[in-house]
Amino acid sequence: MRWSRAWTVAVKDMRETFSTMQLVAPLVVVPIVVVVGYPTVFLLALRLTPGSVEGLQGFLGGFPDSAVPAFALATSAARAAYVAVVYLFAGFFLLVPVMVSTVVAANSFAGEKERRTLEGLLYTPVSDAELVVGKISAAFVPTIVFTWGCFAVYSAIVALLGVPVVGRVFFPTANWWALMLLLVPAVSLLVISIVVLVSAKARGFQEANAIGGSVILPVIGLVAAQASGLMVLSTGLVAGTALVFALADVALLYLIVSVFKRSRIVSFLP
Amino acid sequence: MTPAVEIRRLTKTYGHKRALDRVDLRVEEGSIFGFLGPNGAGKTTTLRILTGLARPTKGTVRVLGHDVATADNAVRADIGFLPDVPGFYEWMTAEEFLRFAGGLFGIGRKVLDERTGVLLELAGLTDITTRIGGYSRGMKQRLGVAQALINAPSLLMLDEPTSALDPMGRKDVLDMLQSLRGRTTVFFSTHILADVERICDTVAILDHGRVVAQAPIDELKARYGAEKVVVEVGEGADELAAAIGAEPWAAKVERDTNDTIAVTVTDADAASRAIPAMVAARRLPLHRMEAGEMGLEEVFVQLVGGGQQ
Repeated sequence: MRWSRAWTVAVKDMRETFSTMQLVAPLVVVPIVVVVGYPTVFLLALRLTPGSVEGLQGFLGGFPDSAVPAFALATSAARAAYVAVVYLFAGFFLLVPVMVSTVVAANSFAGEKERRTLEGLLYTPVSDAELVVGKISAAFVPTIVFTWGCFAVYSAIVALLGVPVVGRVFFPTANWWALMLLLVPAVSLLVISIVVLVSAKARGFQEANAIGGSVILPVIGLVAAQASGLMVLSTGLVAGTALVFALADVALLYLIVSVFKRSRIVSFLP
Repeated sequence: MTPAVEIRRLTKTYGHKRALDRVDLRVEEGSIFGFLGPNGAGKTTTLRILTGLARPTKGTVRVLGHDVATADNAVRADIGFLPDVPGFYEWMTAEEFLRFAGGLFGIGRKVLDERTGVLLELAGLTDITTRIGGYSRGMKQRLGVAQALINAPSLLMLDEPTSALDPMGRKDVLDMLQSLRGRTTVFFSTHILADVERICDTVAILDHGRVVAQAPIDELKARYGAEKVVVEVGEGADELAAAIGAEPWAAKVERDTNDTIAVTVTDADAASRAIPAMVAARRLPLHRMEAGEMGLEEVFVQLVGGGQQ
């Protein structure tokens, strides 16, 4: 395994991704709406019209008070801001990397097939493992960088609009660090590995994106459970879930590198 | 001397379809080898096996001394390959593309700098700064050949490198290949016979997955040249040509403007006995009668069958 070869493939793929508007647009627009627009509107509403929190009680009331620190229980608005910032919007930060990585990974092999550039890659001494690792890295790196970028923007919004409502600096919390540093990378890697595998078999980007996109469904379930208060993303739960995903990552990566054979891809070429 | 390519009894089947049938090939080091065959003959399959991208069903394939069945990456590190429809990253410049290809071969920066410059010059793309998307087909194909040479390969394999090019583009690519003679073994598949005649030393003809002939071009033409007879008479060539055309051993009769008749024959002995007698019977002056040299195209058509062209 020569990492320089894998990285050469990854850098080329990343440059290609960000030179294609068809790919960049959904990567930027949807996350901006989800992780910037929603929190901004929500926190602004709480700050400007504190009474608006009453309408959300039915929704936010499902969260147990034990998951909220005493300083955030002082007012209904502070409680609502804390629950939304720390728990409700956390799910979106799992959706963002899944969306980004699905689009980029779907393009990995399938996009090359469409543009007829894959065959040239397969005739080089880049090994099957280097090719897979390069393709996975090309989706993983921008996914993580973009998600962490969104996290930084989100933290700034919370500092600007959420802290005055709650009354003190409270974010990022431990469960968010665990989310960003452990769960997001672990989930992203699993999704990317699955979608890259789908992409290797698919005839084109749209097919790979449609099939690979179905991996978002379990994450939507997780987000829904979190939003409804059925499940609270505590630090322990986040770290434990990340560990399970990490183990699944290792197993899946091992499986992909073992089963990925360029001769099978060649049989899909025209 | 170890041959650059040695194929023995190679068979490849896809389900019930036999793409290659007991193919034997030997390509000498340093030669320019033409791999001829009509579409669907099995040329691309052979190239895919040579590059380790497909597995032989039976037989052995050795490339640069390596058995391709067990040494894919080692083989690919020493060869250059240009597929029949090469794909390019159209957003790159030629230099970026060559540097990317060099990175895949793990070539160090200093060597890559030097080699990129040399290859851009060889391809005539040194001063072109536009992106590949704006290139003509000929420019792309020259870039494809340059990319296939980025690792200074011992063996350069090209699949139909000139098939989509206009005459000038073809000439440029063939000149590039010609310039490699003696330095790199060149193995290229094509169905354009003029290209093979122009630059190849040796040729193999593949038909329905079988090698029907393999020899140096001159030897191949000499071997089949005996099957053609050229007759030149002072007058009455039309009448004589018509009479020869009616004979059972005359497969094809061609006339040119100089009272010369070229006869492709199925039985050279019968023709050499009968033609002088036919000339004498008509009291025609016989200026010349000789075994003519067949062009590669005629050899190809004779071996493969005109109906497939």
